[in-house]
Amino acid sequence: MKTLHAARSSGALRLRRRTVNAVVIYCALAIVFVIFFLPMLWGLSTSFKVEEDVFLTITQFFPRRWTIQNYVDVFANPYTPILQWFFNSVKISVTYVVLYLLITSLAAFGFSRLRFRGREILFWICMSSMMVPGVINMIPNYFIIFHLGLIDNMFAMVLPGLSGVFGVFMLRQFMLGVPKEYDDAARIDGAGKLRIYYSIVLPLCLPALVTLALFSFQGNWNDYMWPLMVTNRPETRTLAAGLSTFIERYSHQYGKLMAGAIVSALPVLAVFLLGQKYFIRGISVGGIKG
Amino acid sequence: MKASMSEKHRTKALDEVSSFLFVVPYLVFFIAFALIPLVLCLTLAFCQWDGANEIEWIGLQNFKLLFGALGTGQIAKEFWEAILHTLLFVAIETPLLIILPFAVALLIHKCKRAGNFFMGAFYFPSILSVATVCIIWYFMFDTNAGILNNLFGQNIPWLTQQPYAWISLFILSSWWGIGGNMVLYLAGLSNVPKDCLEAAALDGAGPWRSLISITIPCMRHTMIYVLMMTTLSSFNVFGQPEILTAGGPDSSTTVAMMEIYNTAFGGSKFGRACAMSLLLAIIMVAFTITSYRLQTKGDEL
Repeated sequence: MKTLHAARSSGALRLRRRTVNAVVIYCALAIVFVIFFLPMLWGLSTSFKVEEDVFLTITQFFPRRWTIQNYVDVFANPYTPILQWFFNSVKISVTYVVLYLLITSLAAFGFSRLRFRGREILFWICMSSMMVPGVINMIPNYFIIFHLGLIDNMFAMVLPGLSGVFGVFMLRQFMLGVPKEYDDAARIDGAGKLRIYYSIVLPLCLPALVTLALFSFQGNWNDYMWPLMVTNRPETRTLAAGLSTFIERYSHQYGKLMAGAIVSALPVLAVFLLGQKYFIRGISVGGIKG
Repeated sequence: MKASMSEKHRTKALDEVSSFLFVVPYLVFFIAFALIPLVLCLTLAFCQWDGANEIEWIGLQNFKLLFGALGTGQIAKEFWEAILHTLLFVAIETPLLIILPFAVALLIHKCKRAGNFFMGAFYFPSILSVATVCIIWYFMFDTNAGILNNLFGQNIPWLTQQPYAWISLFILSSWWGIGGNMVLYLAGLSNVPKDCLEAAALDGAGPWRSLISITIPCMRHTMIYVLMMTTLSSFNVFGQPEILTAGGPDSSTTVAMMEIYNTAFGGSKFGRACAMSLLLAIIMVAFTITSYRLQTKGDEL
């Protein structure tokens, strides 16, 4: 009787301790969350404030007078053609992602499922380029782009990134996991290599392709140093590169600065919400196996 | 019989060629934008080039300038100071981005219901571009209009005085970088064998004990990976000091990448900039190899 009672009370104790633990964890997370999102939320509210109010009502979260004037001003200023930058970024990033997925999946298919002389050594030469820091390529690539006459051209921001070996590596890893029996069955049915590539291996690699697409999109979209190097005219810049000139331009006009930041963050947020599952799965797959 | 043999041989050769064609598109870009640049960098480091005129071979002159054996030593001084600033950034930011994401990941891992929500929320800043992040924090750090000073009733010149300028950069970079590493840690945490943790709990191990004796050793590989990636990306720091502090105050936050960029595009000294990037790359590789060696040595013990 006594032991039963003791067992029951220890069970209750454990339950209570567990609830206390959970509450502590949730509280800690909520605090971190608030600290974490304060800057973004404050930026959002400031972007809707009238410029004079920004300094007067810094500690007031909600604008005293709501306005969209900051957004209108930012969009209308010819020195900050933010809409043009946005379209440039979309055009460049989409072109880049499509081309990158195409050539890396072809190469990964070749390196994982086809046989030719020197395959292994070629693959390892490519892989070893991962050891070379990016600084090395920066100035020579400018030199090459300059000589190809691609300064201020969108392809200056597309082509160099296509040499990244990560996609080949990642897709090859994934393709090695697709059973070879499928290929054999298709070959017996008379399918050629190209046919096997696009009607068997590619569909099976879809999750890996989506993940790679998200990562390469994010990388290209956010790249800021390279577009700044290869563009001279403001209207040929990307959003990330153009935005970096915002602080010079709007120095202490925080309403407009925040409007610019919000506009640049929204497309990324949309892509993120659509592909969150792949993002987080991808980073852990690419990370641990890499 | 003989004819069919050579026929077979030919189809095999054709087969190899058609297989090889699959990797050709990638190889073209690899050669053009990874292999040739490597060779070019090694060459340009010994040349003088202003970006427009003839390229001129000047031997070791760039390196002599950078080591102070030639000229007034001003160039060498600025370059090594920039390298020191990068090393300072690496030395402080890397530990921050190792420890903070781990703490957050542990909290989220313990949290059963809203875990996915928090994971998405904390990951979000790391997908923003550095320009966006810097603009947001530029506002936070403003001396008069900034939230930080106003919330705490302070009057700190965050971006225009040391050591605050560095502290701002560390706050911003941590805010930006926590998410990426946190997701890596979460993946590692989900691979820690549950029965080990349960056995430890049965043996009376408290949360601290099982964290130190089981969770962390089990996550060794994740930690090595996070350490290497964070170190490398910290060495490449450029956007944050360029946009937020513009290298100031008094070029005290001018990092190596900025110095290289300014030498090339501000001063049109492309050869010297190549020599600089070569030196930075050597430091990076040496650092990475050493830290990897130390890590794996720890494994064997």
